[in-house]
Amino acid sequence: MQSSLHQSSGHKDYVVLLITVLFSLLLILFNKSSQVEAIKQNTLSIRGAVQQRFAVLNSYIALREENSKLRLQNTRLSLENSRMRTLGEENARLRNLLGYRSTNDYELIPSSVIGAYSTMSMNYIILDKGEKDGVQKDMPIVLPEKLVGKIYRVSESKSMGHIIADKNFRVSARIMRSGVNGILKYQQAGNYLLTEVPNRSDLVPGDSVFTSGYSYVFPEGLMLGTVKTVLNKQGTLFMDVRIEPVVDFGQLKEVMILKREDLK
Amino acid sequence: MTIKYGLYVLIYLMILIVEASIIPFFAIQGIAPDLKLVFLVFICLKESRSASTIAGFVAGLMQDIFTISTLGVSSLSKSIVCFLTSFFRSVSEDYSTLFIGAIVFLAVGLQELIYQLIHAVGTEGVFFRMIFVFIIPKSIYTAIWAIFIHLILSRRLWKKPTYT
Repeated sequence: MQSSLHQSSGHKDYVVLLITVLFSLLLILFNKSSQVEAIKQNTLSIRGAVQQRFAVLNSYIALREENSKLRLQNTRLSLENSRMRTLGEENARLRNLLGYRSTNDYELIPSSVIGAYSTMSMNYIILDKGEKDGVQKDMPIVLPEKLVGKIYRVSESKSMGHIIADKNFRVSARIMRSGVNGILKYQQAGNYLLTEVPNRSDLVPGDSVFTSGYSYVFPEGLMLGTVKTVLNKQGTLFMDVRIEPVVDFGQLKEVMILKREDLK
Repeated sequence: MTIKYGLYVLIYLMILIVEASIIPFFAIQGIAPDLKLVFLVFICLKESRSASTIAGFVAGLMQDIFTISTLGVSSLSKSIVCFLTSFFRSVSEDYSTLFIGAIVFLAVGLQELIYQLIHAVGTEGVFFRMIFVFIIPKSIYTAIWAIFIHLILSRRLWKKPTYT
């Protein structure tokens, strides 16, 4: 009797496992439904609110270190600024002569990183700006001259950003020196690849990689990283190009969102 | 009984908050301990196999909802891990600290393996790197946390229940 009871309990355990596994698989299949998206959007506000409270603590700890870094950076930037102003004026004059439209017609939304979620393949950040601040899905997230990622989900007061270190992230990239184009993607475990680069393209380690501008999302000229290794693969049409990212994603505190009206 | 399960849910929610706020400060090279799984192992060593599997499913679902993760992936991996972890429930009367550490190590390793493998579908050549750079370090780090938690909290909390 006891043995039969034990056996029935054992069967019940396997049935429960089967049901949970099947239900999970169904959820995976219907992951892109609008209901799921709505639920996730609502939970973003809750998660963001919790993380914002603790972001203050994070800022306090990093404040002293950041202060000395900023002082140094400030001096360097002041010197650079005067040089850039002259170049900017010259550039505007030349563009005007050639009839080019300005590429810097974006409004910037400064934002604090209030939280982050990181696994080996997926990485995102939570920002303290949302719909009411003008943030919309797909707006680029940047640091000065560098690309961080793009807005993935927006709630009223918070937003979630995909960063480059996410395996679902893709960006059209260009090697400035040689004009070679490719697609930058993250391949888990700290590997960044430049794909779709034909074999024997002009690439050497140390080349700088920028956004190509072949996109409605990302403007041209934002730095992505540098070429780490280049390998011509036999039997394939494309090279194996590894990239060293320029942004330290573990140290993100303040970022800027490029407000692009044309994304509407 | 309902109060007990309600308490489990409440504690799990608190752990989610702690993991989203304080735990990132303790991350080493981007690897943070998985306190959710430590708590789930605790449940698996206390409750029946079916209850543990359901706990894993619900916990995974909550995690999927609150993160960018594909809905269903964590619930799948945690259901399987909790089901398997509950097999260790009757091994000993009073679980030793080392035993807890070992179980947590295995549970985190298996959970991450399933989770990462699902997300790695279509990605080439990262399997070994994934294991050595991420899964094993995370399992070890979480096991160390579990050992400390076990030492700090009363061992009576982890003791196997008298009913089976």
